[in-house]
Amino acid sequence: MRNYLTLHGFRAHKNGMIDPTISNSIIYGSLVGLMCVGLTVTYLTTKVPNFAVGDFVVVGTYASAASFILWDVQSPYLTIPIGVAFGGLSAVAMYLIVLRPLIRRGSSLVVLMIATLAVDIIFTGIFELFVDYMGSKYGRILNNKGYGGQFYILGQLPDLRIFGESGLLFVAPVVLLALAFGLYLLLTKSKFGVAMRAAIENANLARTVGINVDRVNLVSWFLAGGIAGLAGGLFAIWTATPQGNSSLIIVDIFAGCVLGGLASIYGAIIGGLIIGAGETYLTSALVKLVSSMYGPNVGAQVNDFQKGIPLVIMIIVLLVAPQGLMAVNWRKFAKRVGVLR
Amino acid sequence: MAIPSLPVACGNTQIDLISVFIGAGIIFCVYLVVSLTVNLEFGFTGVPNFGKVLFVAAGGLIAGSLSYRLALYALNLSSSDVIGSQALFSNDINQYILSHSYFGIELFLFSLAVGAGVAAFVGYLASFPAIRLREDYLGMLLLAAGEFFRVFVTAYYPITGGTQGLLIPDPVFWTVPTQGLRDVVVLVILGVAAVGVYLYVERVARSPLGRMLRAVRDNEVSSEAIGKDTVGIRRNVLIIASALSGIAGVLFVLWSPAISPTTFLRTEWTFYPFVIVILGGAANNLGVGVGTAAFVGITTTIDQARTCILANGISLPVDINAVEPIAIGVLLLVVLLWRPKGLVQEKPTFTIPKSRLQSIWERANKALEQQKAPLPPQSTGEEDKTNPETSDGG
Repeated sequence: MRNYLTLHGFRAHKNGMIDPTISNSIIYGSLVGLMCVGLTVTYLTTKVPNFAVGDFVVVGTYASAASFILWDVQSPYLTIPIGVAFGGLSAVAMYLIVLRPLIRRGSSLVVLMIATLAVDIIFTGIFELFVDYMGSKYGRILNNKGYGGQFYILGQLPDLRIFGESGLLFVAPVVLLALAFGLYLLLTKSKFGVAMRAAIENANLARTVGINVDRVNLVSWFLAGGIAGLAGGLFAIWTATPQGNSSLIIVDIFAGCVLGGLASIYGAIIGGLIIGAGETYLTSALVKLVSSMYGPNVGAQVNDFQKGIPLVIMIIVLLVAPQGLMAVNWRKFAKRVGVLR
Repeated sequence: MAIPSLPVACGNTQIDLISVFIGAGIIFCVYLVVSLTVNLEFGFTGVPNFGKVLFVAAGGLIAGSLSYRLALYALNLSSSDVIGSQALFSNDINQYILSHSYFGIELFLFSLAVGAGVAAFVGYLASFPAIRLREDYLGMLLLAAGEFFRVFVTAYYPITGGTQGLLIPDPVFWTVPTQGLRDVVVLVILGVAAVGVYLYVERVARSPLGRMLRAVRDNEVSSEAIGKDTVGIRRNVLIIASALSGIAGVLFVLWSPAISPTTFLRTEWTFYPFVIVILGGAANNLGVGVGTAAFVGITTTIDQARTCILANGISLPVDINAVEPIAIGVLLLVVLLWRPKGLVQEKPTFTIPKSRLQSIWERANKALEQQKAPLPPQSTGEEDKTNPETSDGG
């Protein structure tokens, strides 16, 4: 059995022609875009910001990575559907067991948020148990390993090479675009998608014309969890998975969704892309800048503060355009700035 | 003077019940303070602060780190790397506190003030983007800010030396020579603080201010219509509750004077206080007390069971440390699903004592009866006295 705990090369996309900063920005931007779609879909249908969305990502990571390692399959891409299925099913389970009874009872928004926080805590405990179990049963697969102050669950999984570049550089954006196109087709061309939009716009009215709102909610929760699980499966191929990953990526997901406005799926894709790519690119630019000013030792420390970038972007967005990018009247903005007349 | 002990056998080991109760009492006091602040924000005002850990940790960690530096300054200790030489310096400081107990008390008062101040300032900063937002955006922003603060403390060396941690001066080190006295003294200090915070929050709840907070929570538009500055009220509540949370952080650090970024985690300092408030009943300080007692009872039982199991060499199939948050999370969901108002439900509070209300009510009734009865001509003077009371009380 291969051992994926040897943490050779974080973000090991160094051999290709493209600058690794750029390729990492593209990959992580696409992944955060996927995660943001996962949050926005559930927010649109149930109107609850789901604090457990990061856990669906981690469910995807663990399910696909564990099955890849245990079954010794050819490439980690082949087991990603398992991650998608597990992410989707855990989301559906959360909706059925926790949220639907609470919503039927007429609980307030804050109570629903606290319930999703509870689900997040429960998932975190389950992950710990799972990692322990895998570690004790199968030796050194999926285990805590310290590296530079951070503990890692899993090393980076082997990637394909396409044109001498890491395969993820092409796979992640293509998956994101395909997903956007697929959701566009689903929501505008299919009968079920139209029903879904109706249920999002006005659930009571949709019920009166005979739409099964409950089934719409179930499907959208499965979609959301599956998309998040997909992002999680790709994440394990991109880099090593840190311990407590769900609470790290949730900063990016919230920032991306707030930037996108939490009102449309396309906004979530754009917001997630900007946050993920911006975080990766700005961090490495800042590392270079600080290194040139104070030496490489100080510069490397900038890496540790990278989650500050999405937080700052989120605060600025909330102060300047609280409805998000998609709600800004860009024509008016351009006129005011003087680009358009 | 020795602290009594009450050992109870557990397999081939012993558990001292008195020290267990003292430990539970300390945790109770800290969690009571944090939960009361959550209740003030979420229960009374409807501001769901999902970044509670940010304020508790800001108070505890920054005040702890600064009190270490103040002690170094006061004792003329210096080094190029004060964090790196903490083992030596902390020992020196604690030895000094051992012979000069007032210095420890001064350090504690200093860290209380700094903790409250820093946390209030962080609350003030957080209120700028946060307070105008709806609950969902507010929750997301504060939760993300809390996560970032943990990452920040891990990465920023001067606060706790990163993951290395920092041994801060122990303000009650003068109690260490007597076996077991330290925990008792800490319990007394924390108990006084917790009672003080309880009385303060209860007074706020019963005052006209408390009614205004509920009005803002229940109907923002109508309270704005009668001229209340809802944004300002919510900001002030956030700042006051944050200052109290900072004090709770300092109190916790007083008990265990070794700080590190993992001292304050989201599960324990955001999620558990919310569990307590929901379990006990929101907008109800007595309920929060009951909830804290129930919560501390459950966690202490789990802890002692773990100690007992580990001491007897029984190996469990699962890691019990991971089971505790799962159990608490399931408990919260059960409470939300089957008893959403908590153990003690919110009641209308009387702003004047009930006994006085009752006497006014009786006098008013008596006056009404006198009015109905044919008036004897000589009792007009008495009636003039009772009439204004009738209009007040009725």
